[in-house]
Amino acid sequence: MAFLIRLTLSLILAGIFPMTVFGIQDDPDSTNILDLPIERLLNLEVVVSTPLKKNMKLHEATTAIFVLTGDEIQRSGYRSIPEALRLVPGIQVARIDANKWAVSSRGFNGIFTNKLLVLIDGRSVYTPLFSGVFWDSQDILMEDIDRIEVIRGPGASTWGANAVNGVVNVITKHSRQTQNGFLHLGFGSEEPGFGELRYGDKFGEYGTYRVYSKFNRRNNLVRLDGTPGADRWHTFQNGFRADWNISDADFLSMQGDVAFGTIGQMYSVIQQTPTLNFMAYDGTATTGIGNVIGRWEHDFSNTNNTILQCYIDHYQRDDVTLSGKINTYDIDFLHNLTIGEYHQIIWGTGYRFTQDDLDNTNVMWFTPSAKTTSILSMFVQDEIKLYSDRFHMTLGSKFERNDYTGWEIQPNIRMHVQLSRNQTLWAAVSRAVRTRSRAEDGLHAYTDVIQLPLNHRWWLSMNGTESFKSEELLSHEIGYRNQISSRIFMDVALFYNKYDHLRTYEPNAFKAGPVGDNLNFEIPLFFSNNMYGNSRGGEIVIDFSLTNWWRIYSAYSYLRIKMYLDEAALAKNPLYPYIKATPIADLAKGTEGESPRHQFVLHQSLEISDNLHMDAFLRYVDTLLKLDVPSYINADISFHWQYAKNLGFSVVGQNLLHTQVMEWDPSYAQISGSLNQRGLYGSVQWSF
Amino acid sequence: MRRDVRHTPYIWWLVIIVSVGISISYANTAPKNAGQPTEYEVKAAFLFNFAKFVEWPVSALVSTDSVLIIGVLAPEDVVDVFKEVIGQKVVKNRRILIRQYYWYRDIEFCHILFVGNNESKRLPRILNFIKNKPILTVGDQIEGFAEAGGIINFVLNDKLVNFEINPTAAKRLDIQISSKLLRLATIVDDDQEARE
Repeated sequence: MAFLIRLTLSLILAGIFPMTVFGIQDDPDSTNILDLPIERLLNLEVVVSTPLKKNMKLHEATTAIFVLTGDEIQRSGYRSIPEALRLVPGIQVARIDANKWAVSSRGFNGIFTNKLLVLIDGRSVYTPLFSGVFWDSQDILMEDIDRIEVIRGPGASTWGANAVNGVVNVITKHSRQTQNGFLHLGFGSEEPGFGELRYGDKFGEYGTYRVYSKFNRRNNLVRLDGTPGADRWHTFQNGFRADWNISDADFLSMQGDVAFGTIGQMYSVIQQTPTLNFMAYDGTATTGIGNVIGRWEHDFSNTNNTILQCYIDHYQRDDVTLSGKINTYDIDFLHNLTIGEYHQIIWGTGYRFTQDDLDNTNVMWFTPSAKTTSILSMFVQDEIKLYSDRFHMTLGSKFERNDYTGWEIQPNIRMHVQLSRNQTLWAAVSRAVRTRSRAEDGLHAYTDVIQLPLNHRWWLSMNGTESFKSEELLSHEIGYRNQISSRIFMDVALFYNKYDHLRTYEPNAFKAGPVGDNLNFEIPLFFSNNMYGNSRGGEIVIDFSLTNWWRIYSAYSYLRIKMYLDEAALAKNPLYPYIKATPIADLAKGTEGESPRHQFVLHQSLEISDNLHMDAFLRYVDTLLKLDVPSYINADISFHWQYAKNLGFSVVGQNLLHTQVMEWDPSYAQISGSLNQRGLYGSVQWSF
Repeated sequence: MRRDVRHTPYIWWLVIIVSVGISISYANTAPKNAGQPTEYEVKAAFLFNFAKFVEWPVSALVSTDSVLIIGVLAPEDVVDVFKEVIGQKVVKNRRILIRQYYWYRDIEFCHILFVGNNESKRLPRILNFIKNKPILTVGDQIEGFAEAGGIINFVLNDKLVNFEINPTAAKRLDIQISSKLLRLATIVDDDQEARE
């Protein structure tokens, strides 16, 4: 198999090579362009020097960064952030049920993916509970997205702990870009109705704002066994953003959102009422979120500016498994400055304060049930020009103190070489950690049942512990970018990641005792850090604009994870042999088999006429061995017809190749997942 | 026991990439781009054409004798390209002078003001500073330029440089834009006018 990949890769590259040599040559009439008629100028291809927003970061970047522009997202017809992330190389996205997603970067996927940091306008939407993201509660007006920047690989030296395998940065538009009114209404087979209303205007001489309101309804999907599901996803969200240029050098932004969700849940959980038993449960979770962000930018000069950002975030969830509320208060300061000719320094400091108050349910409880934690962080980064403008080196580190594991240092070193005008080579070595989450510190939940001698069902419980250490990553990356011709862009990134102290579970006692009238047999499992291993792989992107109206973008991602249990350390635990034979101990294989080895995306963007666009997507995702999820190919097509300047219509078909497709099997997590379904929707957009 | 992992595949990839990369770089070096102008060369040519197809009100012209001043609020390298391509060139019997401004408050009289993308967040202040002066403002791919009251905005359409025009903003300043230029542009409305 590995050989096959190498061969394919060589062929792809070999295919590109001749293209560059004999490829598209633009007419060489370098007669003075001032003599050309203006009509001719409009059709003159240029060498883009200050790149498009899409490629702006790519030129200088010393990370595997990918930018999805707002325009691309809008044209795709995708209506949620995880769906849009399907287009990003190196990102694994699986729809678990109508409202749940497994999203990860470079592997380690799961419902509780804990190595990916997600930010919306600088606000972390990563829950401290289990270091993952409640995707069912993250929504945004898709039309307000300016861009989504995705970094594969560690971003910890600037973003801090938990930016282990990737960072997703959703950035919304400045309110100046969203003036006047906008209405978007649509409905379809899987989307029984959605509506978005936005209005923007000016205030004072130097201010602009927008307010929006949206609702989204998504239908139940079908359970893995084919019966109708109960996983509808209804949200209602309102928000605003105001930007104010208060003085020559000061820029103020305020924004906020309030949202409510009614989210169908399908569980088969173990609960204690009063004895332990399985409970199949179809119910509804309700969520409430609210946040306010304030940002103040001050320019001392063009090369010296500061940003101060504060936010308050409230999250509330009422569910049969997990109920409670979390408040986060965060303040961050950032200073960008250039010293002399060679040093560009960014340093910053931040403080985050998190308060939670969780209700014990019959399924899980936290000790203590309310906790306050804080994180203090600092980072500094210096980008040094070493040899003319062509060779840069970046040194940086984050220093972070959290209440669970104390100080964490996460340094990195990055190099960037401009090989020629069109191509760059970069390499990086970085360290990142994932710190203990609230769950790993104080959770108690029943997760499984096993049959042991003594003829009893022994219930396994998952327990947080204060001895859980941080998971560690040492990452080695190398990347290469080439603007092969004005029409072909290629981006390759390779990585070799070494992980240590990854999470495992170990029993520390057998407990048998009466609970009410019955006997309970329990094996409490505690989190420990006895897995290590490595992952390697790469992503290759080829962006080919065949003509001005036809663009083909393709991305291939390869990922291979090798995990090992530290048997020597586990053997010290006298009880470990008892669970060794159970699936729960099969963590190494589990981690390896939860992420697809091969992924491929082909995106065609076609301007059929001036006001008719088509975007088609073909996605291939390899088998998930551990979950018995077969590989699949699926397709989405989106048509957009701009009938008039202020009136447009879209028709979007999603998951077209299968009436139903399994993308994930979460049954081990006591959630009864769903099959993703073919869907069609139509919508109308009106600007006023 | 920790097993060391085989590095072979990783190195394999590396070898392929680097060797292909190097060969591409050889293939790419000299002849490439020779016939292809850069983005800012073309933008300079557009500025030259804007000067050709725009009529300023008389008040704007009497003050200066025979020059046409293009103010540039953008980084040095952009200014250098402009100077090289259109500096001292003659359009409608006027010699083009490129003048760089480092700070918007330094803006004095000019016929055309090119506002670089790096100035986009300061845009409301810039436009307010030159309010009511007959200056043809040209934005460098600044989103919402017209909505803020700017006149012409460059847009990059794949590898093509195109532009948008906000005729109402021009009309307010008595700047006449030839119908030819309007025909080639994407017309955008200035919302203030539209709503009134």
